Amino acid sequence: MSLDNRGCDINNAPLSHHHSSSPAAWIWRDGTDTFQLVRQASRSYARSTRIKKLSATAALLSVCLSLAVLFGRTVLASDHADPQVLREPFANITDLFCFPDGDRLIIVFDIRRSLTAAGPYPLDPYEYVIHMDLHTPLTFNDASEKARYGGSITASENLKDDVTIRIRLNNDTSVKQKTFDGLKNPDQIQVYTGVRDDPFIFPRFFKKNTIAMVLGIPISSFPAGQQDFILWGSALKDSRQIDHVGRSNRTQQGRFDFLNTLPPNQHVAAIMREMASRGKLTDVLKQNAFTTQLPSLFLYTVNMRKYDLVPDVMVYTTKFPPGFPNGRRLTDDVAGLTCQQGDCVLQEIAFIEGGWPRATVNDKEFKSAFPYLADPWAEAAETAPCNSFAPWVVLRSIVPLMRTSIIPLEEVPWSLIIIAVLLGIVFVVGLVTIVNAPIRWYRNRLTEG
Amino acid sequence: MSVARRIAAAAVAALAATPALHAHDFWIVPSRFHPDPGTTVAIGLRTGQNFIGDAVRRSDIAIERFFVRQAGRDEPIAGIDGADPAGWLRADGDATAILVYRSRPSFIEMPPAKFEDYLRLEGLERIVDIRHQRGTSGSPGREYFSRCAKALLAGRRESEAVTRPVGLDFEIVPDADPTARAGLFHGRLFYDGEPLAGALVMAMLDGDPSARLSARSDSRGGFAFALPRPGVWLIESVHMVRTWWWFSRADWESFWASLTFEAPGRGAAGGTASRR
Repeated sequence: MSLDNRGCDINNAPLSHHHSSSPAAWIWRDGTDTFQLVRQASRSYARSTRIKKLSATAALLSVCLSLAVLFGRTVLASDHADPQVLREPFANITDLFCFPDGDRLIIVFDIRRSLTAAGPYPLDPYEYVIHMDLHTPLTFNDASEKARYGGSITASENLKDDVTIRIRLNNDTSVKQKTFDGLKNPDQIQVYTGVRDDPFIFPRFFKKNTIAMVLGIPISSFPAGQQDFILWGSALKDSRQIDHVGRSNRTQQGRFDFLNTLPPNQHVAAIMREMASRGKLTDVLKQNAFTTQLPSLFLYTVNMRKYDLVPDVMVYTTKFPPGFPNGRRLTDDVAGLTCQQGDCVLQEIAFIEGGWPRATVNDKEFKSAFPYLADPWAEAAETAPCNSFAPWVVLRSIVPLMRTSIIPLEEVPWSLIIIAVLLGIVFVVGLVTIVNAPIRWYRNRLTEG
Repeated sequence: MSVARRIAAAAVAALAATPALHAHDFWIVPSRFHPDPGTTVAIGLRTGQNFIGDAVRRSDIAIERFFVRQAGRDEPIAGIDGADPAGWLRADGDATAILVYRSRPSFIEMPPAKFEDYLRLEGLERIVDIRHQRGTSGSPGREYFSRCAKALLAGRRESEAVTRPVGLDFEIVPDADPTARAGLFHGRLFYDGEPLAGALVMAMLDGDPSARLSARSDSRGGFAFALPRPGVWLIESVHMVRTWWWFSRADWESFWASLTFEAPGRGAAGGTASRR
């Protein structure tokens, strides 16, 4: 290896596997030798050893299998939309749109996916909220962030509501209560609520309805000269946030499921934490031959990506033409547009479940005037949601698993590992004894016979 | 050594011709050296020469420690294995933060001539002498090398924490927060927690190959540079020790310390409680 190679080879490549010319050195599998092991051991007792990692991985796999067995049925019964575990279907936000029409800003906020049944619906416990931040600066210099998110938010932890629109619905979908905080002339705001065609351009939701809340807000209701809007939506029950929506196809991605219960000013910190813990899980699995292939599956479903460290909000600015990701028009083909930027799950499912070529327009024509959404489909009995497929099964098992104390490994106390190993030994010895007893009895009987 | 003598020594050293570097340095480059509170900062790793480097992708298997010390706490720097930048952090922005990267050792073996060339370039002539005394000058150079890199992110106020070692095997520790002071840089070298004397230290300015300074650490590990211009500076030094040869395939172990920071313009007098 030449001197010039030092930079390229620098400590970031896996350590060499070739054997030493020194006969005294005992080379370990990862390229370190006795000297380095002793040195590292003395440096910090907290570093994970091979045994610790092996134990943790074994525990990890056991829990993984247990989860798959225990929750397999539920997993297969869920569909792609968020939250992953759909316990409150009427808190499930399906879409958020934002686009201008004349002197108004139109906001469409939809809930309840795959709706075909007739009302009334159990809407009473829920509150639906549209939030707008009008003060946090947006920049548009980063081409990749502009293409993915419509712009850049430099200090996302400062995001907060300047405008809060709260809506409660009666069980027949009419408005029960509405409040507009931070907007001028609230009496001039158009509001529509009711069952409409699901506008999402995605085969799974064709010929399905949704419960829509459509707002036409006069531009004059905002501060004079307001050009930039950062908005997001949430659904609450008993003041507890259940679902979140920002830019389309963000929290729908399985890797972001944990964002659904958090406000956007906590998103980046949470994503960073998940990035670290999931990275550690990947590292552990990579280091054992038995599990080394698993991380390649996580790469597409669970692991964070380098463009993920932004809050899940929708950005809309009047400085550029409207259309995803600068706001979102009803006609925007989000599955295709987000795939161009790296998130292709929706597009793939559209091919799997839909026809060819992939549908890029809605299955019903939108209206040109308020409330814009197409008329609803005829009422029909609801069918069970279609089955998901393998990655979601794994995802469902892995995401809760990563919240356990197994990750990060440094925090696993030795006492727990020792107890786990001892219990394992007791279990194996017990099992062997139990299985062996009738065999011995049968052998003895044969001998005596 | 007094401050005046240190500066004089630094000036003399700067005037002396500094040999061109051929070995690869390693340093940390944040996306912003002055992040606002709450902003996300991408942390890049670089390897190269003359402060011109190639991006180094994150390799979790090679990282021993990678963290940020800010607001009195150490937080791991999250990242994606195999990706550049190597990590991200949320800047506290209150006081100067310290980014720390410590690699696991890598093994390298070099032909004797190249090995000794590199030793001389990094100011490690004493190792050349030891090899000569032991009669091993003709043997290949076998060593483990580790990176001990630090970088400073300026906050609203300077931080005392930057003047204390963070616990790297070999590290460059400023005597005062250099992100708040223009012109003079006083620092110390520590190896295994003790001051290291006689080591070559070099300083380079980003974007200006002509701005290169060098000095030797004194008996207290101290050194000083009169930084001629504001900008992003890299200060680096290499230290080498003998391994426990009977147990190791390497004869030597080297530690590559670096410190990157953005030096302010002349208006920054230092010593103020708050910068903004």
